[in-house]
Amino acid sequence: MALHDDLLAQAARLARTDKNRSKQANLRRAASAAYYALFHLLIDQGSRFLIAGPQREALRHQVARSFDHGQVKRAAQAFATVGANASPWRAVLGAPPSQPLTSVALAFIELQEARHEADYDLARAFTRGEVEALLARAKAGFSHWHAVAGTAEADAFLVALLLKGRT
Amino acid sequence: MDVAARVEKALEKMGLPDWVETTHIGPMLDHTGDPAVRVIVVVRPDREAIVRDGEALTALVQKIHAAAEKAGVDVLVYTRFTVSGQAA
Repeated sequence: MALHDDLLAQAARLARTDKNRSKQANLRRAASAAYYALFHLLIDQGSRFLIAGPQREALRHQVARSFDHGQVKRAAQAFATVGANASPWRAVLGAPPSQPLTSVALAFIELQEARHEADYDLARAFTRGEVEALLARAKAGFSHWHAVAGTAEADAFLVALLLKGRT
Repeated sequence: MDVAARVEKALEKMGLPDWVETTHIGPMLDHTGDPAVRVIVVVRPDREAIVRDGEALTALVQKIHAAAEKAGVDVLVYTRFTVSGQAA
């Protein structure tokens, strides 16, 4: 399985590993893993879009290192907004982003915020239901991505993930 | 009207699914320091399974997002789900 699939599976194991009351350590790591699962799916798809071919894995890995969490969030924001003047990408897309693509973008934004809270905000506690919901949204993000992968709008999204300061 | 109040009004107008017990809506700063709104959707305890239904959650988040946009909210709206009565 690819890293992003393994991270999603790991998130599910961590979220459910405690029989009774869930430990914060497991819930927080689950939230973090759910985010990284979607992040790594997107950078895998982005680097494969840019560098195709089975013999070019080393170069693809190098491209994958170039993706920046902040830029991916900015790209997701540009595609999550469906308003008429939402984004410079509207001229490229010619139409609002589809619901599946919007949902991937929204899931990414939410999961990134949750990951920061999980990793750094000790003032609040996570509940099992909250983390199950984050995991469910990450899984839905995977499914919605696969529904649009290879389309013109998905390709535009992958390019936007890398173009710093131009979305 | 402040942004969180606008989101609250938009959600009242939108209507929420029957598995939602209540919502808590308030302003926040996200991890990048940008102003945002947080919507906490509290799921009824007898509908706890919905937190594992990514399609249902995603559909509601998209509706919330669209309603907020329509209401002129130009900050991110972060939606989090929790189950009523569930302890941390």
